[in-house]
Amino acid sequence: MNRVQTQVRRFWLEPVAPDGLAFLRIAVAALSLLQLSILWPHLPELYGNFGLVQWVITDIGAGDWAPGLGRVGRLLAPLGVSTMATMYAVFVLYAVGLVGLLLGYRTRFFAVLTWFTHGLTSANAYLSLYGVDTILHVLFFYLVFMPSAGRWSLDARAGRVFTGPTSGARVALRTLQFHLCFIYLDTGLSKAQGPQWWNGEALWRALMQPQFRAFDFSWLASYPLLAQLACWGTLLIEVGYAGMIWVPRLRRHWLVATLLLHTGIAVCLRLWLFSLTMMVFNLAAFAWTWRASEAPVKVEDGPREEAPDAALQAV
Amino acid sequence: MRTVPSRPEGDERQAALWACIAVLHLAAVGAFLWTGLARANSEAAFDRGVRTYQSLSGVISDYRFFAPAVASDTRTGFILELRDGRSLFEPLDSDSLEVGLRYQCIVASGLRANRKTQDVLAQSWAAVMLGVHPDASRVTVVTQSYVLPSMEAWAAGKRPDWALHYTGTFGRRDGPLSRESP
Repeated sequence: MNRVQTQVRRFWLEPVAPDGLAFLRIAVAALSLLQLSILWPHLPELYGNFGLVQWVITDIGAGDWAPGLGRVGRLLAPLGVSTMATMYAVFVLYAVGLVGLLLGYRTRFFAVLTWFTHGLTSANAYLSLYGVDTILHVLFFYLVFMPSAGRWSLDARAGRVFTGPTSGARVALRTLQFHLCFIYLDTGLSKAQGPQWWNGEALWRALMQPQFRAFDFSWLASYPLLAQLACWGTLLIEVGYAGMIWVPRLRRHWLVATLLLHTGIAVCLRLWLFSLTMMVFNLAAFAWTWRASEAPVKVEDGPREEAPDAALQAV
Repeated sequence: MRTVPSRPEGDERQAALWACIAVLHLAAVGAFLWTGLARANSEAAFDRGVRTYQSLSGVISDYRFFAPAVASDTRTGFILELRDGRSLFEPLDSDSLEVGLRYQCIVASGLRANRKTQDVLAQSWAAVMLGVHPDASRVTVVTQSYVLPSMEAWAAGKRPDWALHYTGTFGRRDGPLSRESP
């Protein structure tokens, strides 16, 4: 095998512990349960057939074959099941799926249930969804395939799953890492095309919109250079993320800067759930393996191995 | 005694297959984000298939949060005409931040749409309000967008305002029909 093949094999298949994936599973399930508890009293108006956007409208707009609440509702209606009952049944199943994911009990089954029911509800409420819902659905989709039950799960306690490092976990982490890079690159490049992100108006506008306003930032109008620098900093972090996160010497700094950016979004724009979800995504994809890469890898059924050098084990 | 599963046999070979699938999936994600693939709007089977994969995998839209520009805030309210002649104003807002954000997203979707879609959405909101207030005979939907001055204009003394963006009046089928009803 030549050197390139060895590098590619190591990059994609070097066994890694499932800790990051388990953290992702638990944190995403916990955040989603919190979100569901907040939305529960408002489900009929946000997701119901006779809510703010009736299913007939969203069914027309969907334009795909993915199942939605509307289609399930129409299927069950001849059996005497009301659309409201259908909606609550799907959300109860979604909650059950999330609890299963949180506990890591029959993890694969509950991951499929969570992803499927979340897809059903999203299909008929896409007009009311925002960033957090998009990111959650991406993560639910990945959790269906990822070996996330190898740590802190009932499946691991019951001996149903292998708990040591696997190549499958490495593939899963690489997928998360690349997807995260795509997200920041897309948002960063798009921002860079708008003049608001170069003259500082973007930050001003975001902080001063009534829906996001956490504090009075009107004083910022007297210091436009500050807003401009903050916008440039955001562009640098987001556009640079896809490249700099792979540079061992910069990774830690870029990750911390990204986490601080999301903390700022949470505190100043009150987008708590979105920011926490992105922070979990970042930590699961990069922080956990970066931490683990500094310690020797322990293979449970094989001889003890030292961690590959930092250049080979990029993350 | 409980047996602990050992590392799955053929783990690396199976993972290599998953890696190939992951690369294809990531290539699709990249294509959705940076090519016109995601914006295909036709009813052709291929395009519907692409949209279905997008929905299932969660790559429903791009990730252009606050980009390329920060959009103006919006607000919607309802003026309800009661059967006894009184009128009532009810804003579409919520004490819950999470719920309020979703209301904003719905209203913003309406603002971005054409007039016909705006009418359909407003009709849907009006139906909810008429359901909540059985004593109301007509409802007028009012949507406004926030006009925030630039930093320079603010420093010069200009202050924000709300601009009217949409109004539509809707009546019950059993109630008096409105001339303004779309």
